[in-house]
Amino acid sequence: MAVCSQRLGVMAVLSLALVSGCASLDSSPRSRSLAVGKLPEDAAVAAAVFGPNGRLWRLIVADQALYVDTSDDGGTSYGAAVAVTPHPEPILARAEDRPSIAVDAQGGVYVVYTAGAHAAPVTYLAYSADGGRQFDAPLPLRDPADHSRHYQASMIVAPAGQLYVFWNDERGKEPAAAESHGAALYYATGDRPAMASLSNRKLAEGLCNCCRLDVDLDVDGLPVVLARFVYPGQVRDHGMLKASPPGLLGTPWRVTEDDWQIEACPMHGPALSIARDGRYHIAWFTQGRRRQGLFYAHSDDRGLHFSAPMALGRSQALPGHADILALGHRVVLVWQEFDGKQTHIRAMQSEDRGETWSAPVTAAKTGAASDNPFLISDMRRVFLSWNSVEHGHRLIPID
Amino acid sequence: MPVSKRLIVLAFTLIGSIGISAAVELVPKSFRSGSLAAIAAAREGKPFMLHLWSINCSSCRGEMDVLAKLVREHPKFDLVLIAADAPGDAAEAQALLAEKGLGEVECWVFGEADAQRLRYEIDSGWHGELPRSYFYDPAQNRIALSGVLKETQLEAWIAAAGR
Repeated sequence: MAVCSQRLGVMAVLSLALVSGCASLDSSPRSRSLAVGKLPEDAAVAAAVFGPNGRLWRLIVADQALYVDTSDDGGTSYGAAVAVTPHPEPILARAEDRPSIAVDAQGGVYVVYTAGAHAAPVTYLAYSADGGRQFDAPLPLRDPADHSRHYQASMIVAPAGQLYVFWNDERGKEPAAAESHGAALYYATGDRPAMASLSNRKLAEGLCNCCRLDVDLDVDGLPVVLARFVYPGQVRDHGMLKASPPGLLGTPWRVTEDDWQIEACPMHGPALSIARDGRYHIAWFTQGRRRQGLFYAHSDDRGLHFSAPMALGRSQALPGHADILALGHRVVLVWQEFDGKQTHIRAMQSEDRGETWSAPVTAAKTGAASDNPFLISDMRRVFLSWNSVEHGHRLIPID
Repeated sequence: MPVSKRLIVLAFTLIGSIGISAAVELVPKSFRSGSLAAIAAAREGKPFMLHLWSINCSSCRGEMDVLAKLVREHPKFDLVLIAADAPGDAAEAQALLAEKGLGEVECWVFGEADAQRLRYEIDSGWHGELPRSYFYDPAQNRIALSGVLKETQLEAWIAAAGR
């Protein structure tokens, strides 16, 4: 790793660490619109994902701009960074609200991010048709007449190139109503030729507006969303919904019954992974009346009924911010713990579809600031993608 | 932008800057390891309320109106605000407090990147949900409550603390 001074700034905002190997992140002569020199010192990896042919894609936030870089050797070395944003503006990049990147089978690269002042954030989609060599000018996802607050976007792209973006949307709401009863969940969808006109559609009301939502594709290729909702009585438990290109399928349904009655921002969103065999795997955090802590469960009937919640982690170490990934019969869980001095990224796995689990192990740890853990896969192996001030961005195989 | 609109914006900016320069310059303090001990030590023998919030916490905003009202109505209400944000958020945090009428209240913003460590130092059992309030009695025993509190709850505490 190149030696970079450890400045705050974006890194602190995202609770992220510096990009490792900064010296290799030089300008790309083909990136456009933004003069890309060497990336600023406070560059931080906001998201990472594997695309076709095992190529690793990273989305980097640095000094009011977003960049993409790639690695063809599993994260050992990275190519030149390409600018995504056309001009400097504040990028929302926080633990529960961060930009995302997806790559389709045809080499299309999609970046969704929220930018602008906190009072009026706008969510944008930037697209590259040429495998990330350059990005088209980002388009605001909102309808032209809409000027409400949009944030916490989550995106997924089906292999054939159908894009789904979900976000929190406060249109038509008084701020106080959005605060106490939640925002609305909107989405936009399209395939690549129609990308210039992604109309917005409302899917649900009462979305808790400070917890990330998670989305995965069901075996039929349609997206399923798991999110924290505000249920009557200020109960902040979780619900699911499924969408298709024409709109919502059925109605959203309740998934967790923890009875966490609190008028507060938990700052703690759930995780979802749908296995090829159709089993839904979820992880979530609650301080509800019925149970408190971090939990895992699975469902064999498309999320209608779940297995008994399995508690994760050592309760005195504040386990939280889990991610989950199912690959074949394997299921991997990671989460964060803090022992008062060090943050531990704990990992455990199942070889039998989530029926039995290994003992948890510490996959990584640090005594300094670090980001939430995320799992990514190249369809062969599962990796922890994790940032810390101490170690930079790391890709750690969970074998 | 049409010229007329630009002039209006410019005029507004000028008025705004005059207003700011006339007022006392208030900068949030940087909350670091040890800051809580300093806050408590400065209030030995006196009750106070410690209130944690964030610029990203929508639930916190409504409660700020209530807190501002109580601060106005009860001059002895000793409120300390801590924004559990990042060092770079100090200006935005202060602007939000000023907008909510809390610009004169003692305000801190997390001044270290490792927010988890700061949260743990404040309370090793706190999971980070916001708002989070601590009610200190004169002996510095404290009660922790998560979530938006009712005005009546806060008034009851202020009344009890003032006795």
